[in-house]
Amino acid sequence: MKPVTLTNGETLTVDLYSKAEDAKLLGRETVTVGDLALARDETWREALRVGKLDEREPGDFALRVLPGKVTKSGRMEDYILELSDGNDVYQRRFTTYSLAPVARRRAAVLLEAETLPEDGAYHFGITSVPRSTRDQGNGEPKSAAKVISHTEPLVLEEAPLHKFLANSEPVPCETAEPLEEPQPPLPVFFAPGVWEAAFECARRGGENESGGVLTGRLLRDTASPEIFLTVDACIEAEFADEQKLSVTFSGESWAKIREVLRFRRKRMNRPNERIVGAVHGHNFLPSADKNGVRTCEVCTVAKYCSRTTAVASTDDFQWHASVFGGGQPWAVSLIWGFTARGQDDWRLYHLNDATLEARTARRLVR
Amino acid sequence: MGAVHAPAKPVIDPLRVFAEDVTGSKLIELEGIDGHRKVSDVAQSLAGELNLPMNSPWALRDEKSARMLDDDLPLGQQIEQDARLTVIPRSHLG
Repeated sequence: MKPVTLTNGETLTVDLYSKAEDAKLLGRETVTVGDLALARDETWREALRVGKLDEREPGDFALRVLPGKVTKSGRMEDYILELSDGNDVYQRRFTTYSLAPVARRRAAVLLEAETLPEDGAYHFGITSVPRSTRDQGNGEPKSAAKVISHTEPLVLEEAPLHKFLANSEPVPCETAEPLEEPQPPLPVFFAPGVWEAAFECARRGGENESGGVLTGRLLRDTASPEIFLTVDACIEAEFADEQKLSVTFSGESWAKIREVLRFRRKRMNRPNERIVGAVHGHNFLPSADKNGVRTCEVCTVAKYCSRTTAVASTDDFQWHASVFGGGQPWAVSLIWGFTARGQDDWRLYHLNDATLEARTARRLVR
Repeated sequence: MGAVHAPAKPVIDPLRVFAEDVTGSKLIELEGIDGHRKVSDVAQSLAGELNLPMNSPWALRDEKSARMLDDDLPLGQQIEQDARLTVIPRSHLG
């Protein structure tokens, strides 16, 4: 895989350090262009929201990676992705945490080599190193096959965002502190009944996980360049392998989902409806301690329960990246879990800082 | 009495296929695929051509026969020319 070359000519790397006082360097992993795919897609999405770039695929734009601010330790706090098409340029900053999957990749190698500390804990940071001569010719191997794209271009239907905002309300979350969103995310509106349908889909598995996809449309505001999402339906993942701690969509699941979507496009005259996210249930309570207690010491006085299973796991992130990682950065992931108090709890995740981050949602009231 | 084995199906080579991602939002046509290549190997290549993450394993489903393909057998032994394949992630929610 092709390593990332920064604009200063150096190769972007992630260093793993011991958590001990000496902060010993445990290992170094080169960041590849593939590692930045989600960050690139997110940059494209944000560019579209302010009227920059266009609806071509994110891979069609020129990508540059700029080094971020260097701290006293010599590591970078962040790095910057820039997309351009010769006319427009858009930059977005990403933190160290966006490269956690790269750190995990090196950690897996260290674990196998038994050179990771006993508890498996480490810190990681971003650095850059002089480009090696070995990397200079390390482009992607050319495909022997001739490839022709038949992908339909992205269609952004036009609609007045102010009407959607006026006809909707925030989806309440009674089990957690209200989320602060200093940089408002791409607005998402659930059509009437869909939020409830998604809940039913997540809980259908009983004690096992179950799930489905969310379908809808991407829209562009008539009065601004902002883009937003309507979630119009929830399609259950039939033929899935549902277990206590996982749900796997089979080839048949996906075929059935696409068949239902084709039907909706034709019968409801929604040619631009597409899969825009997924929902699944973590249908289990937070784990109990050795005394069988799930709640924390301040449970009786705390307003909100601090323990929940409505949390996106590493598997959930990997699945989301696999399904939506090919240029669909608007996709959302809805997870229903339980708090330690046994309350239904939800989190809606979207792509931010190249990872899944919890966000708010709105539902249309009419 | 010895077992009678059915002869292996002939391998079609080269192949032209159509491949799409599970969301149906990307579709590519590939000509000149080596039909002797194992399905697992071709799946990774198709994922790459669809700009899907290469750090996960992928499987292939032939939409005409509605079957998942055997990773360890040659692609050209399991599909017909102009097959429509779906590239499916080998990952789960959990």
